[in-house]
Amino acid sequence: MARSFNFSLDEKPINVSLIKCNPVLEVLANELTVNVSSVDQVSSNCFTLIIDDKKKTVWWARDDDAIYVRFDGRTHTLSYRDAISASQQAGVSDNVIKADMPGIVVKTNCNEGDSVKLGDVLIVIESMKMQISIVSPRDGVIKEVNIAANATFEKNAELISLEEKE
Amino acid sequence: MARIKSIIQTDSNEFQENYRHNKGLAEELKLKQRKARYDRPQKDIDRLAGHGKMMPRERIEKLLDPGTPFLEFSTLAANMAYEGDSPSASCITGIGVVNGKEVIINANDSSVKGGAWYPLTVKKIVRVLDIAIENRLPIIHLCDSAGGFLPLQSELFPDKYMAGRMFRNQSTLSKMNVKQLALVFGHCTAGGAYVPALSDYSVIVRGTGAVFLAGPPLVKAATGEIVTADELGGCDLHTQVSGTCDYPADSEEEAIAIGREIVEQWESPKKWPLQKDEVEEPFYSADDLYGIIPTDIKKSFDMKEVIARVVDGSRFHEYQPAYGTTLVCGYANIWGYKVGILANNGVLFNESALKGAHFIELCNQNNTPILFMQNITGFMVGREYEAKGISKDGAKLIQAIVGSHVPKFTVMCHGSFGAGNYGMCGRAYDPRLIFSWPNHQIGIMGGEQAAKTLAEVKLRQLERRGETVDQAELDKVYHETLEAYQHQMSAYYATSELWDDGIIDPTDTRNALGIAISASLNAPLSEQGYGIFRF
Repeated sequence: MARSFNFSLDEKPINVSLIKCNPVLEVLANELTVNVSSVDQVSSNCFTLIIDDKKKTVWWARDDDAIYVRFDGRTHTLSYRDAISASQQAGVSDNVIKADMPGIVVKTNCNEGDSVKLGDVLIVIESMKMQISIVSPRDGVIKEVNIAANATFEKNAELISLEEKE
Repeated sequence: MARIKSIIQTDSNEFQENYRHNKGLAEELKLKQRKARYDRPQKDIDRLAGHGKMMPRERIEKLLDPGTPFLEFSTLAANMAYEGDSPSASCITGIGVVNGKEVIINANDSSVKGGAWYPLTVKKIVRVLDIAIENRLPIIHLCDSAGGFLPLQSELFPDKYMAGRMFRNQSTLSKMNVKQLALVFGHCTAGGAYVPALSDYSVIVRGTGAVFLAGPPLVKAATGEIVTADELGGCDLHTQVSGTCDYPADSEEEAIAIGREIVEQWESPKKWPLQKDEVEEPFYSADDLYGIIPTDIKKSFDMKEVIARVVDGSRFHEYQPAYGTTLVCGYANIWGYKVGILANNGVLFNESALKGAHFIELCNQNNTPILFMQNITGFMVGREYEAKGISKDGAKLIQAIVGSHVPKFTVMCHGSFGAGNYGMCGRAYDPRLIFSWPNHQIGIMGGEQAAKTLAEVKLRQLERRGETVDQAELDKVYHETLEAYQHQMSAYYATSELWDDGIIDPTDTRNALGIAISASLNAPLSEQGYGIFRF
């Protein structure tokens, strides 16, 4: 079982690690150590905890990846992030869409300057008897369309480039 | 593990069109399955009832633990053979649970021509016995069969994988210490007599059950002796005199109750300890699969979108995400079980084949079962790729598959053409189980390519003979070839011929694989070892 978890807490990243389980639960949250000496389940969505010798009542509810936690009169939003995603930063690597294989363009669905959304079909190519829809890897604006319908291209050809929305 | 981020647009026209099409295919599948399972002439239903017999599926239902899943194999076997006279190939096979233990069911369907064995019946029974051998699963035979269908005897009796193979497989199971129980509800004639005789335990129903090498008519013809079926091989003869059967039962219900109690005595299986994590439902709904699978066999789709709808939490640890990207490789969990997945996102290049072979070796090193998800037109062709050794790289992929000691599973998600079928663990490569989706198509090449090739050959022939080329004749060759190919390429033809273990609704893929993986753990891992890879 993993002992270190990444969450976002009210949209700020937080790393939580379990340091010790006995006799008290010792948790490292970012740089802060917290001791939980008692966990008492009151109902399916309510616990009373003793955190650093103070008794707290905590309510929680889960909605897919978001966990809503209420204590001390405030509601916080926690959401789980896997370690790889948590450490990734937005890159520019997906600005250029390259051909995975040689082929021919069946049709183009976009023009320079178009705003596109994640998952939009930009062009359809055919290679080795298969038609492949090339979709936008993210939201953005079409910077260049380097290829026209019926044109052939080699592997790794730069088909389309994207830029950020202004 | 990171969750796959789906970028499918469920409100797009394409998704909606795919959805309608594939949902329709799934409904057609369910209709065909229902007919094969339950539609019988009233006279056959009445005949069984008149003998005090249950319908075969009723017997299975009473035998299995209530509320447990039954993974049925090849429900539509023989659906395109014998003019539809042998629904499900006249037998019911699958994996079920009896007293908490996974068992193989092999039931004759006496509601079809007295349960007579057609050639595809024999193929289906031999296959389920192979499944029992490969996975070391105990087997319960529900016997009620008139024996071989005599008009087709040459296609079911003499060859290596024909009727004799059933008893060879039963003997092999026995040698491997895999338990077998026969419940004799009806006649076990000729070869069929060996089914209970080769079982470790057998129960026979008084009045209707009978076991004999030759039934009364054949005995009369051979020796002139006139004898009733019950005198010749009935319950009392075999449980009191011959010792061929072990337990007498006064009714089918009693036979089933005795059978369940026998299974209760069996030791619990010692499964090998595959890494198992907490089960998490997929984040994305399996229902989306209908909208992801294209309507046209020529159209590609992102297999990661499919993986996201099959695996736990839609989480996937992708191996070499930037290399050989037309073959997606990575680790995931299905019903908690760790698996390695290879899935096609386009034609296989040198890099994809090398990546696949390496990943298969990693799965073997890590004792992780492997799942192949096929949508493959083949390996890349052309001078550049031959020069880079595409044939020897494909050979490495095949050798890695064959050398694997971990269980393998294959799902035919869409096309399976040419050598791509081999490189992705097709039927010939011993996947423990192989399932197809209803949109699946399979062939040595695509129908259009085959038709073009043959029309071309015809043209050359005519030219060589100096005959005039008649375009209408060439068109005829093209269309006839295309039609024949399309008929034989369909998932229904493939499953009719038992090239798979059944067609499944795409939304059932996760459950079918969960049962398949769990069952596979009954067999210990074999020794590791590969042949000589050509570098």
